[in-house]
Amino acid sequence: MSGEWILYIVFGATALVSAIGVVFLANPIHSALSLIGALASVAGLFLAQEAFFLSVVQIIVYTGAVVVLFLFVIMLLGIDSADPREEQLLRRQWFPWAFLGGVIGVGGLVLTITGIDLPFGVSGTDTADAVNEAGGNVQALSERLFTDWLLPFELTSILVVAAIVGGVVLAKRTKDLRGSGMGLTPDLAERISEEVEADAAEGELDPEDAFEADDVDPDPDSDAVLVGETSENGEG
Amino acid sequence: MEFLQTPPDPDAYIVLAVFLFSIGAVGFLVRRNAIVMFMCIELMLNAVNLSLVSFGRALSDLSGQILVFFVLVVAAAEVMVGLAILVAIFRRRARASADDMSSLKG
Repeated sequence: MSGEWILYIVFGATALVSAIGVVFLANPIHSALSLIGALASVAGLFLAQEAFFLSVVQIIVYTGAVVVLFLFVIMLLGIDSADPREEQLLRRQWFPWAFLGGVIGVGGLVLTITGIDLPFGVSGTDTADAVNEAGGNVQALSERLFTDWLLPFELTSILVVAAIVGGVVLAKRTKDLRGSGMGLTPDLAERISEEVEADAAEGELDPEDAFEADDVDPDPDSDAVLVGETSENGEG
Repeated sequence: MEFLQTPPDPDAYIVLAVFLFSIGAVGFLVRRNAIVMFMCIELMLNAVNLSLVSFGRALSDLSGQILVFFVLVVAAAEVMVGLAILVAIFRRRARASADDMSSLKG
């Protein structure tokens, strides 16, 4: 048995199982931990295909930065428990079958549209021998990146700076943002707590009531939360 | 099991990538928690990365790996801005369900 098949089967199976875990686990923290498994398995699959640089970058960037950011936000916002409405959906008996059908349907659709009969006979200049001659995967990759792809590489720095500025502006809470709808100003905090209390008084935050079609308040000028729940009752 | 004697051809990786992508796509449609929806986007991006690396190897061209590098950068930036938006929304709505984000006004 060829070694690459072993890597393919082990990491491929782990990737699929972890990816299913991301969707099926009701608790967002469990989903994030499952995501680590999926991303690390993809790193393993990169390794199997001799993309050594990407394999390491995948682990550093994804499991080291992206998933940590996810976990940080989940814990910061305190949504580390499952949403009762969502959990109810995930526990339905037909849900795994519907999910399986959806995956097979979408997968079959993609495979049919693209077709697997691609012109693989074409060969570029970066054969395994050429990569070895250049000094290895990292050297060959950097040579291409800093010659042919130099402009796109420099443009990504603009993107990253824009993302940093955007992230700071969005997540910041100061008086400068009053009126822009982004900051939590004192009057806004008061309004939110009033709304939450009003919702609690109406029993809207009670998960037991969320699925009761009879209890829906027909009052049209109540807030958007109610509208969302009304449509949900319609589909349930 | 004769095919196991030779290394897997690119098709094997493409099929795997397609199914990873569909799990991400279906998960994105099914889940309501906005953070889990982001995770499903990451899954889809990773599936595409995997297929890019396989195509690059099948065609003996390193450009595929360089594209994956750019996708990584864009994904990191996207997650950062997306989660910042989520934090901003969460301050006003106190719930992370996508069903509650039905109005742009907040």
